[in-house]
Amino acid sequence: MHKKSIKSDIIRSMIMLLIISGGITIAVMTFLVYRQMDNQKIHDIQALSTEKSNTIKIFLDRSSDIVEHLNNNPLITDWALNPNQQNTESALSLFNTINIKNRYSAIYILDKTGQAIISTDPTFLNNNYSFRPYFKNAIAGQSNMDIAVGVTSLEQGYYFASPINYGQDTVGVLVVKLSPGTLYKMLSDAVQDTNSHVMLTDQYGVILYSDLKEREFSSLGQLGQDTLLKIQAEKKYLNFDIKSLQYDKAQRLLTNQAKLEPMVYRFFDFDDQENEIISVSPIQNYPLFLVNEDSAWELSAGAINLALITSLLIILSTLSLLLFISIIITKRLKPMELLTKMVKKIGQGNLSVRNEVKSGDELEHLGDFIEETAHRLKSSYSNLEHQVEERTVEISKKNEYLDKTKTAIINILEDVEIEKNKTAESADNLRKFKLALDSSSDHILITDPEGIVIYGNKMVEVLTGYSLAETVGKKAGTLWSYPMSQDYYAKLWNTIKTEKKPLLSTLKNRRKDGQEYEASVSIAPVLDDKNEIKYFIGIERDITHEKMVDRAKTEFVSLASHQLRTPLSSVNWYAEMLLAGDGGKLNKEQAGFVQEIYAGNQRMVELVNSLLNVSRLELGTFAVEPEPTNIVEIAQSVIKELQPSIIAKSLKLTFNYDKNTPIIQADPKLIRIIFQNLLSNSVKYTSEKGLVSLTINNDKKNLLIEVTDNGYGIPKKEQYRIFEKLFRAENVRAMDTEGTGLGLYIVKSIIKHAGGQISFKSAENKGTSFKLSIPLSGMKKKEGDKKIE
Amino acid sequence: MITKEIKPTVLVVEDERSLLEAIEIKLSKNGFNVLKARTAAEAYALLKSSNTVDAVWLDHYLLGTGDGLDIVAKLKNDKKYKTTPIFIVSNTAGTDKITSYINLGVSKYYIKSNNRLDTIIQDIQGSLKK
Repeated sequence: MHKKSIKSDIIRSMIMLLIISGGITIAVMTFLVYRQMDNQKIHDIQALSTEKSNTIKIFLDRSSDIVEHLNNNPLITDWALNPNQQNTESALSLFNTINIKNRYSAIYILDKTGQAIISTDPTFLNNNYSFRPYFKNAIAGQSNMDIAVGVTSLEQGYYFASPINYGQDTVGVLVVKLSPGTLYKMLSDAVQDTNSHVMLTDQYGVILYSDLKEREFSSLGQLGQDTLLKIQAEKKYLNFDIKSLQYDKAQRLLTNQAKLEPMVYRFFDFDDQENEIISVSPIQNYPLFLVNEDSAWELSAGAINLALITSLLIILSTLSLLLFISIIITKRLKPMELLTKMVKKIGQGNLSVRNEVKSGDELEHLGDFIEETAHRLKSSYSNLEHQVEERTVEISKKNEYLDKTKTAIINILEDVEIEKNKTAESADNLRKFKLALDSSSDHILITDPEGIVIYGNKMVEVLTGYSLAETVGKKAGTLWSYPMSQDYYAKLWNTIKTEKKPLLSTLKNRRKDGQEYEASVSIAPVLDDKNEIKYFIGIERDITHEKMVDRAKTEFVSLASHQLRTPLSSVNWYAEMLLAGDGGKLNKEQAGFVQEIYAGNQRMVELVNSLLNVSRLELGTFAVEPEPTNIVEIAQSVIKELQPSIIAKSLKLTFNYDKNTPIIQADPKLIRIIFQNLLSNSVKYTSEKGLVSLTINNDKKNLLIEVTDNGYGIPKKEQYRIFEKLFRAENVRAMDTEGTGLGLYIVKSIIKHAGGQISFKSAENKGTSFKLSIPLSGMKKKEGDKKIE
Repeated sequence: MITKEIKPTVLVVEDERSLLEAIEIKLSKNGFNVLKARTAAEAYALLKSSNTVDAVWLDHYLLGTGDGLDIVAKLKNDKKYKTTPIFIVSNTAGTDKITSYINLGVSKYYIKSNNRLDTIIQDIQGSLKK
């Protein structure tokens, strides 16, 4: 279908084009040819006219020449001057000789007056022809020719006149009269068997001859009145009535003619109802015009023929062209068929098409392209299928996931509902908490991570005397605390902010009204789940009273100990002096008694000392002053102190220590107390000849001290009480050994403070081994009222 | 062997009578000349009146106004007694007090009940030899 469409489309277009162009061509051709033919015809007519008029001229020239020739004869002058019989005979003889075949109707001489004096036609004699223009012109000296109808003959005559001159004068006129019959026959013959008409007119436009007889003595067009009068006066055509024909233009041309060339123009002849070509040609030197009338139609017949032939040719060539094109198109569109088939196959789903077009041109290229595209499509389809598969799997997975998510969300929503309830509960709790906070008897402040107060409870106001309005927004404590040292604040911030640990401290405060009080302060950071500080909570308690009590206690203990010690000192010294013999020599018994007094007193002193230490430990008022301490030296010193007892009991004391035992930061007094208590215990609670060993070692972190003996040991069931204040195990009490029961408590307290550990192993009657460790980092400095002794 | 030299003088400032006497006896037995005072005022009077005081045995708490610290301060400000060794023998063990005494420049501080008379006297003798 399409093939035909394209083809028929093209052909249709071609036909249209060719029709149009053909039509235009034909029209133009016709016109041009017509024109050309016309022009040619006109040209031909012109040429013909010229030729004809030339012929006429030559014809007439013959007569002119005869006249001149005759006139050249000098005798003519004689004869004109003297027209006697003799001359007349001579003249006539000459004239007749000349007039071969009687061409001329008459040859005659007119005298000066216009009278015919000699004439071959005797009828002319003695007639006066002075009215004739030919005579007027000739007598004026001009050879000329004129046409008129003869008065006698009543026929047209062509009068050739030549002036007869005698010297300067013109004495007569020689005239030759020609009958135009021959001429007219000539003209008639020319147009015989043609569609043309001919007319020979005079200088006025009066038709002298026409092949259409009726035209004789009509004028071409309307003559002017003066012209008609002139003709009349000349008696040119006698009294013939001169009708005018329709050839006005010819008439005008004639009248206005300046050229000697024939003038041709187209003319619609109303009479004949046809287009005509009129040519008007002057006859040179003669007052004559040749007018030809040709039918134009006839002229263009040739043109039409030509046009028809041309058209035919064009049509033929068009048809053959169309045929040719049709063939080509058919041939060229064959690939289209193949391509259509190809695309159809693709449309049906066959993407593995092959291009069968091998025309080597754009269509083959197109075919290749379609093939390629189809193949690409095929692969991308398979890709697509594959992708769709994958996607489908993905989607179903996603759907699963979405289902799970939906379930999860539903669960969450349920949880949220629960949480909401919890939150309501929490809010309630919060209210309760706030209530608790507010009604707490402790001053509680909550600050931001920079220490700016964001909340305070009622107690803050009560304790500090500052209102919450005054407190909130300010840095905590700035209102009521006494400024501490830079060091103190640095340590404070370091603990709570950097190390994020709670700080316990005692501060001196001053209420708004100026009253001073002591407060125990605890500042604890509150961390969020990112371990960043959210708030600080500061709790202060007015411990003024406590402190006072403490101080009172301490004072009391001090005082008590002082009071107790005075009499003890007294007894000590007096007993000492007695024993030293300062009061006189004592007998053995007396010395013994005094020794008992002294010993008992010593125990009291020891007890009092221990009690004092314990009270300081309890009150936390003991001081620790660490300094670089040589543990080994102190141990050695203590051993030296105990030498008397060691020797007295013949004990074997071994001291093993690491030579590279480091010097540690410790309070030597406290270290001394440790050694004193442990070693004196071992010495005290080991029987004679027993073993006591002291070992000092260290590992990377700690100092390791071991005190071992093979003494009485600690009964198993009492071991748990051994570090208790004033506790003495039953076995040693039964043995009346001295002891305060405070030593181990003190040692443990000191060790604990040093950050160390103490432990022991013991079996009754087997021995005891105390192990303790003190961190090599040593003891921390502690401010205190009193030293442990 | 005690040579016939001038006996060193010790000023003992102690408020307890019994203790004061015990100290005096023991010091005398050891060849010391003893000046006794129970109050700061008495101490100052004795210091003023006596020619030499070679050492001072000083308790902290005293009768009347003034305590051991005041006396030490006074002694240290006195051209005459600036360098005199001072031994504090007291039953008070307040760390601050001990530190104060040591800062003021006392030679030694003893807890009365922890020390024997002869030990203390030995130390005094030791310090005087220097």
